[in-house]
Amino acid sequence: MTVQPLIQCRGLTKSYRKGDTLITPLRSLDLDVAAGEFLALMGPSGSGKTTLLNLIAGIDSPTAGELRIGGQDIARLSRSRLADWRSDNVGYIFQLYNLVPVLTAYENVELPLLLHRLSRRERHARVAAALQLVGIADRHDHYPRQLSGGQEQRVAIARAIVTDPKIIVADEPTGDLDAESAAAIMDLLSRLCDELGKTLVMVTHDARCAARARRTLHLEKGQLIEPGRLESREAAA
Amino acid sequence: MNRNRSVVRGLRIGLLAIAAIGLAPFHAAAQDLPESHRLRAIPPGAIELSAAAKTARAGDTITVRGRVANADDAFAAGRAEFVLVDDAAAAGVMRQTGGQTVAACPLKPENRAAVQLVDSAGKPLSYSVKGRSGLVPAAEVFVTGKVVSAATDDAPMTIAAGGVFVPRVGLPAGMLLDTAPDPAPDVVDAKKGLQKGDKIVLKGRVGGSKEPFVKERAVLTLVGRGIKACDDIPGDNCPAPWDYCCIPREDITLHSATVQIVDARGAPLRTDIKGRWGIREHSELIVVGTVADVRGDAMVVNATGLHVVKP
Amino acid sequence: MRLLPFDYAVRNLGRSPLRLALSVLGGALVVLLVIVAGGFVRGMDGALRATGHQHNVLVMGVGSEESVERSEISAATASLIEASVSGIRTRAGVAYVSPEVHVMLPVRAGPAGERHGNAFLRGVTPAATLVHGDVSLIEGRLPRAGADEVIVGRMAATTIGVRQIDLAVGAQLRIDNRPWTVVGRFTAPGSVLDGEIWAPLADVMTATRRETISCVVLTLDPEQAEFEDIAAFALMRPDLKLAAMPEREYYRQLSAFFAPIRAVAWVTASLIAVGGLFGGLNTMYAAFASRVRELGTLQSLGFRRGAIVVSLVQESSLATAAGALAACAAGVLALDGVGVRFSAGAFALVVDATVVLIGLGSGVALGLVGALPPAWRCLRMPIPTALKSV
Repeated sequence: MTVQPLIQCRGLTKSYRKGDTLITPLRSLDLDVAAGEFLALMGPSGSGKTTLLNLIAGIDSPTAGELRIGGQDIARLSRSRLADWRSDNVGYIFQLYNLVPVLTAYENVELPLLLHRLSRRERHARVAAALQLVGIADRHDHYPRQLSGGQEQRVAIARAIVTDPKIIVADEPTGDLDAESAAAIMDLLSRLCDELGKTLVMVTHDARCAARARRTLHLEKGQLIEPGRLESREAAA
Repeated sequence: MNRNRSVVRGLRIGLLAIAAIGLAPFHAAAQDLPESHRLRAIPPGAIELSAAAKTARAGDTITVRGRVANADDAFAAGRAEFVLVDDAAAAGVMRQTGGQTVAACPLKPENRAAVQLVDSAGKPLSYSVKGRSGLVPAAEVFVTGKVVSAATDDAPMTIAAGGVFVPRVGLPAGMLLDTAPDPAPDVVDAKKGLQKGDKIVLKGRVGGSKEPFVKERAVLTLVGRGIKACDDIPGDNCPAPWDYCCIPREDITLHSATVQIVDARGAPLRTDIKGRWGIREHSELIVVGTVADVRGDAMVVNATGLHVVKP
Repeated sequence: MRLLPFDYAVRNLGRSPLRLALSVLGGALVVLLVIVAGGFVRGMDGALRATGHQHNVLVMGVGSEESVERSEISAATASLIEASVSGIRTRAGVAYVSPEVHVMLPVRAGPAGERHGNAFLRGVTPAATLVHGDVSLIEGRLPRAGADEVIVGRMAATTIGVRQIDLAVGAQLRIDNRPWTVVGRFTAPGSVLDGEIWAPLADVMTATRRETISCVVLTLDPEQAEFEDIAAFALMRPDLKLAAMPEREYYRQLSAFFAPIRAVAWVTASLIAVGGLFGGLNTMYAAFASRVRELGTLQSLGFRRGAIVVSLVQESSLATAAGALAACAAGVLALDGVGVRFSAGAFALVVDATVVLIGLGSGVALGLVGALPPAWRCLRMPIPTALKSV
């Protein structure tokens, strides 16, 4: 019996028009990601990795192809159903953390839970657990401006996991951090996969970060580069 | 047994009392014509019944003035229908009979009409309208409605009335004069040398002030052609040209007379002249009457007859 | 649809104190203007509509129906009407028939007569207090005939454009270059009579060298007579050249005459409100545009666009509502009752519940309408684009 992959892309294409030019950042891409997998996406700027991440996160829609997540073709969902789907299934970690500056760390983490039918007590328990997990419980009443970059990203990770989503997507999660903080964040992300069984898709430019993933895929001009081709290119270099 | 009978009697009295209380509002409402057929004021553009009968064809919508026939058979029993008669023709018959109640048939078909109050299906309502909203024999009535059948040599016109207005106070019969009295001198000439109690015939236009009529009072002022109304002056855009606002007050007084139709006590009748026979501001009238008062150039005339000059 | 916490909207207000101050101030200014316009219209309308007793009839010269000041009728008219028309109200044998002269005259006030303006002077007999039942003496006494004494209305100073102290009891006035003494003050709340000066009829006739009066105001006993009886009397006595009009109708007509002024007040307020709206749009757009990435993040978390719009509208409405509240408070405390001069006398601005509600409503509407277009513009962009914005 074969196990159905959690994320299944078939002929996934994204194109848009910029003036008179048709730009296709993603071209007929096929990809399977198993549940609990930690996948790193690498590639030069404009290779389509963030576009792929956004499609998987349900904040962008493909122009053609099929994108099944957990057996559901999310390309067919309406804008509002897609919003609901995101709140149930995806946690997004941004390069620049994207915390809401007028809310405390606690309130930022609580924000996605407001979309779920939970009592205040249940929310509190979940937020406390998430903050504990990312090691920032003592800073729960701090505003983002009172936190360091690494601490902010921890809060952002807590916000991404607090709803217990199936998938966590991370767009350059260490891109704005010093080496020490970046290593700590990568430790944390690895733990999410290893200990909590989360499926993690991460876009990164940093080979050291990518090395922490179980699988790394390279994109170029909107397409995946086969591992063989990549090795020969690296050897030539 | 006796006890049973008294219980039944008690119940019957109780039921009757309840029925009487319950029906009281309907009984009060029954004094009026149905709301759907009752007009609140004199309908504009009403013409005399005989004039309408001469030209109206079946299907035409007409507005007429007339009187309920002063006759025993004026109202149909069990349905909303009455005989409307021409005011001047009826006045002639009244003079012949000395005001006695007679059958309506002596009048020619063109001076009569059957007026029916019909439902939405065109059927006459199934009750008599006698006495409702002041609809009694000889009452002055305004009717607006559709001609069901036109008058012929043998049969009067039938009107399906959409609305009926019965003035609270009617004008005396025969007040409208069909033919213009001749001679009919202008107001200023007619007034010359006359004293209180003298007979007078005068011709003029309704006007002299912004409000030459009084609501629900049979009074108006009449101005002769000797002075120019605002619209007689080319280029004048006065919104109320009958007020003679460009003429000195003294001249207006000299060229005008107050005309009233009075009751037995000499007070103006509590009814409108405006709207009757199409009379409005600036209508030209010939008035026959008696001088009631003279103070300097001002004169008040008690009218006994009015003729509306066709424009 | 799950909404964002109200706290989020409230705290966003504090992000830029300058922007908040601009929004609050802008909202307050617009609302204050709306309140001034509303108070002006209601005050003027109220004064003209409140003047005149329900059963009072104004008998004046025919042709002068639009302005009693132009009217001239025989001084004997009052006694003629009293003798000829039955059904006029009486009290202790005195008929409610008030012959009056209405005249606009220049008045000089102040110790040296240095302040001046035009006053509406009403020459009256004691019967005036019968027919104008709303008038009550608040200070001093009624004027004596032949002594050149006057009583002044509470708003007369505003009508003339002088200080209240210039019209205090005991003050000297020069009306048409003739000295008069103020012996009393009266009020007729909410009516144009409040801005008048009253003097004995005979004195006013002497001072103005006229033998005619302007009008007769009479009160009918509604059970015995109707207005039409007076109108019929006017027509039946063409020698007197009279016209009759219900007193309320006369002031309603005056009110209609001033309709364009009221319209101008509303139009001005609306134009400024539209200007304020554009200002608000600009401020709000700047506020929202600086948060496009945050709005994108909220969407990526699963908040629907509608929920975000609601939050932005809350934020904008809160700012303008705060301004509106401040404006309403200022309106009630500082504007209500302020005298305004107009050609028919003076009236007080009326900042009542209706005007306050209109003001608050326009403040909230300003917040609502001011937030929607910028909110829509910011939320229209695709989420990835929003997330990329700086």
